[in-house]
Amino acid sequence: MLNREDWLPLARKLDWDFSYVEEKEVFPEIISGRPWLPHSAWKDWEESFKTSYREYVENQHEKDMAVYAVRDAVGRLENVQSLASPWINGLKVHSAALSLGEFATTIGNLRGARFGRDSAWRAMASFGALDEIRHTQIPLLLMHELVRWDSQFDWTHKFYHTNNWLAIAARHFFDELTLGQNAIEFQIATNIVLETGFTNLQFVGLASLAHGAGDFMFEKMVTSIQTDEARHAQIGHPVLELVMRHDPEYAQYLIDKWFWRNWHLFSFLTGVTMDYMTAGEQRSGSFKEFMEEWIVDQFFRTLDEFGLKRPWYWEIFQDELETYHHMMYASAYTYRSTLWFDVAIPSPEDRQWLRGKYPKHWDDIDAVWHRISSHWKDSDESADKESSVHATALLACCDLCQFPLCGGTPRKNAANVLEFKGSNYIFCSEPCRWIFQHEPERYASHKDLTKRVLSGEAPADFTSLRTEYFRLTPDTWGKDTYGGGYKWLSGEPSSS
Amino acid sequence: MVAGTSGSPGSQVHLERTCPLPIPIYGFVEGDTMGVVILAEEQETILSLTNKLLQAVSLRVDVNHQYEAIYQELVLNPDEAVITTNLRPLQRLDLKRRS
Repeated sequence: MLNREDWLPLARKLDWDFSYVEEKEVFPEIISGRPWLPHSAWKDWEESFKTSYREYVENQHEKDMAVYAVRDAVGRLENVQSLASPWINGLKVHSAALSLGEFATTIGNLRGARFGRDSAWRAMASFGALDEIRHTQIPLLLMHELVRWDSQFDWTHKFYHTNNWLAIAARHFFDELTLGQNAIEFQIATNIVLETGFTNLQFVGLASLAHGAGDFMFEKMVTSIQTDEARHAQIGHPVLELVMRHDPEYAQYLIDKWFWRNWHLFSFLTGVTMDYMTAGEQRSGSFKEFMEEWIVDQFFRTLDEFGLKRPWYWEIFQDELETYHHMMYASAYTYRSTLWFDVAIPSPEDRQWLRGKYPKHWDDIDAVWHRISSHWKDSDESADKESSVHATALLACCDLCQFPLCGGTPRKNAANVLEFKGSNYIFCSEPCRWIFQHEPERYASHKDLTKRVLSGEAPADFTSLRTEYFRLTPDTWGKDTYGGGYKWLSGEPSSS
Repeated sequence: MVAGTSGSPGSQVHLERTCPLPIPIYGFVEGDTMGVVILAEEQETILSLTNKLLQAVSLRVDVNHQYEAIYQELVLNPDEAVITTNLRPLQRLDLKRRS
């Protein structure tokens, strides 16, 4: 009888030499990725977990039982109802953005499971695909319980099936990352940049905030998911190592591109939740501090490990760290009825805290909150206040990341226009423009929200856009969390 | 939603498909957190377009200032009609506060 160490390589390294087909037919470059190398270059591919199927099933069973036990103990409706309203809305953001995004990642992993260049890679990616199905189903299950109480939780399932502007941006990201990607780019972008990097914001930063907020169910869910990610993220390292050896310029491009794309997604997803949807006394640090500790430091270690350089846009990134998610949140607040969750104006105490954490441009951001607050203060008692303190002009969105044009600072928005084959494209930032220019064929035909409205594909009037295109209803569209009834409003200046 | 203003999300603001077609412009106002799309009519003046854009962002920006319209690094004459400027669809127009 073989011991485990001798048996496992026999069960994982299963490649053979092809005689009836060419290797390039089995692993075409267009879907396996580049640089295309013969299997002899990949045969030493290895990762440290070396899990067998039996071990995988046993581990996953134990993890699922632990999640269900926590749900039964502290995940009941009354437990969720006892949480602070802004946090509950943060829960709606995350469950909607992540659950079906995780399912798309199942498909990306399956591409690795079929077109990865070594059998051990393919075995690990198969487990990765099963992991992602689990990550899809856990939030769908946990949030389903809450729909009967609050129909906005229905967006956990519904979000990706709509043309809501945030859904367009999230799909643009996940479609490219996970569905339309070759195996090499998928594994580097997902395992190295997303899972080794940005998901730390969820699994470490947000999990600790969830603990502070008393949301033990969310904390357990994300920490359970994290244990899967830590395993299957190992696929990316040996892939990047080989790409770096054969085509370092391409490796650098993939890292630079996907760091930026992740940054914009997570600055909304996590940045807003950390700085605006977590109660002041429960915050252990700002989003910027989490980014610097858990993402930037980790990213630098990865760059050093592989001999990569910092992205050329590093100064732009550091500037955006000060402003981008603040500009996004203030903008989104004024379009809250186009969202599926409620939002609140930061209180004077919150703004004071934010000023200390983001001193560089806070005065300019704060002026916007003062302005919005003064509209609430001056709004006519007899009028529909929600409507009277709401914007209706068409959002202008970036032709790369699809988020509203919130780059730069309030004094100088960073948007820039590029003419390509007779059409104008607008970008929120130089890096978004740079990515587009590297792969214009991939991006040029995609219509952002503005172009959909202008072409007649989406309704031009606000009411129809919100209900028919964004699929929102009066019950589900976002409102001010407190209906504008802030005790501190009396201290705000008048809007006139 | 196009060329709308703050204050009436329930209202129906339609794209006018008359000839000539209005020109969609990306508008940025100093002090704002985002860009918006506004429609410029060929016959309206730059001043009228400026006011339209200011109204569109007035929920977020205190617009009680003097502004100048800047297009491709040039200050536009407020009395000039849109048709006589070089304003092109889906280009950037900035409103800067006069110092």
